[in-house]
Amino acid sequence: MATISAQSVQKSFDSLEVLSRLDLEIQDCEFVSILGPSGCGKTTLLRTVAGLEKATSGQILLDGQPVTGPRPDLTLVFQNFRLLPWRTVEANVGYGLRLRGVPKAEARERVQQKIDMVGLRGYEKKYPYQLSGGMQQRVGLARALAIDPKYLLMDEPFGALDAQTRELMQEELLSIWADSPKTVMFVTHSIDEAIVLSDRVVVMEAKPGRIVDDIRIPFERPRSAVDIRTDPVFAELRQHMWGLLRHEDRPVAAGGAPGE
Amino acid sequence: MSDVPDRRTVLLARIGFGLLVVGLWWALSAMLGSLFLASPADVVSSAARVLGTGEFFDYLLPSLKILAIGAALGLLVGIPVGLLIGRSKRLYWLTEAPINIFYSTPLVALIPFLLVIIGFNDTTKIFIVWLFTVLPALINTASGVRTVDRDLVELSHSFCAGEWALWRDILIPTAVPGIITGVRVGFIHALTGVVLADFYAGASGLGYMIMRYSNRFDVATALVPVLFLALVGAVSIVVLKGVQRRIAPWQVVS
Repeated sequence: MATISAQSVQKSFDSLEVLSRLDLEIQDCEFVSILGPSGCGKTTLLRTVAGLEKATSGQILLDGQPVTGPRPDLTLVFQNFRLLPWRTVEANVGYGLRLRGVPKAEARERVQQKIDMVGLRGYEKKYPYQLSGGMQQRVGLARALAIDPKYLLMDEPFGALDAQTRELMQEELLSIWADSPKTVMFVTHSIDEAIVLSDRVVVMEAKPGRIVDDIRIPFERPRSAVDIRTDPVFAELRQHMWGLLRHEDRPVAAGGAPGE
Repeated sequence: MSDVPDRRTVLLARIGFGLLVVGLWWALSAMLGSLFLASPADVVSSAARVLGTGEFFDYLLPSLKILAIGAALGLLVGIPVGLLIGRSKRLYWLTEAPINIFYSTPLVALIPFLLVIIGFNDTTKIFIVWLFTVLPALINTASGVRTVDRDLVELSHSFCAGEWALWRDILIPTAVPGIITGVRVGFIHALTGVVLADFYAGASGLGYMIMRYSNRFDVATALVPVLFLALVGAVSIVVLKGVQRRIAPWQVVS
């Protein structure tokens, strides 16, 4: 059964069509990347799945139920981290648990487990401003995973990090996902990142936003990002996607859709 | 924050500045004569006298009472109303103009009317102090809430947080620096309010002490409550900065 299902989703901001009758199915515990240039509506699509935007027409189904707003079994990881500056690492990771009324002792245990998982042991009492960008996003990831969501939606989560940190985080996300697979929708504009992480890469084009290709990534799991990058198949996939995106690189009007 | 000098330099600079002010004051009082400006030494001996006889406290206590009640009521109304106005766009646009008109009106000008309406009594005094406190508290709190990061509001929404949780986790912490500024500015205005209330609305309090001794040309004694109020104001600022540093450590306070 498809756990995320977009059915002819169309979205316009005023007269600008951002998503054009788009169909997409994501299976249970599948890791799907949405790859595309700025302004192709990939973030809008993710936000619509999350219930933060309403489709102008069409609908999103999660486990067969239409999305009408944010759901307790879905969490997001944002490009700009969105940590609470006035809360420690610990309290930020426990944010969702507290909102769901998880008993304190249990919450503490789960928070510690997630903090260990993202490698932030020893930083529990630090405030976000005392952490590097990579560490802040680890907190964002731990916060999203702490409530053990069915759906994990990530909006260019590593986009604000430097190249080295970014690859490290990809490697970690791979191992975290290998330990407890979830249904993941991962928005990115990095071809490498999409190939390394995903079971499928959905390539989008802009004006109006639509899907132009849907590519299965054949690498076995558990994976190592380093091994994948040196695989000849990786180069082939990369070249194919480049071709699709290069075609997009014509000088369309500047300025993406809102939320891009 | 490498451009902030270390504590010792700051302390020395402050002592130096204090000495400079006292020196200038001394020189000026010597030039003008003690009838117009008492010298620091005269003020100190007057202070010792009114403190020693306990006379000072007869003026201080009524003022403290008015200040405490008026400022507390001002904050108690100003902060919650400021929170609401800061949260609701509609309420903000509705109230912005009247509040600004009211805030830019010299409140002193209202005192004669208050005296006619309420009378020469403590109620008028408390109301004057309330008026001086409530607007700065309200305005600073409201603008504090309005600095809220919309991304964090959306985050809270995405975690299915309700309105109460949004206040607890996002809005109130955002507003803390604004609230503290509101308390600080409100309290300083309240001090002005107390003195004005004493000037206009009755024969008691520190303001009355200033008037009384000025009228007797005893400038040295008249300056004792003035210096006392300046000291209270300065201490309140230091204390509130400390409070802010403690409860809002993520905010860089210089």
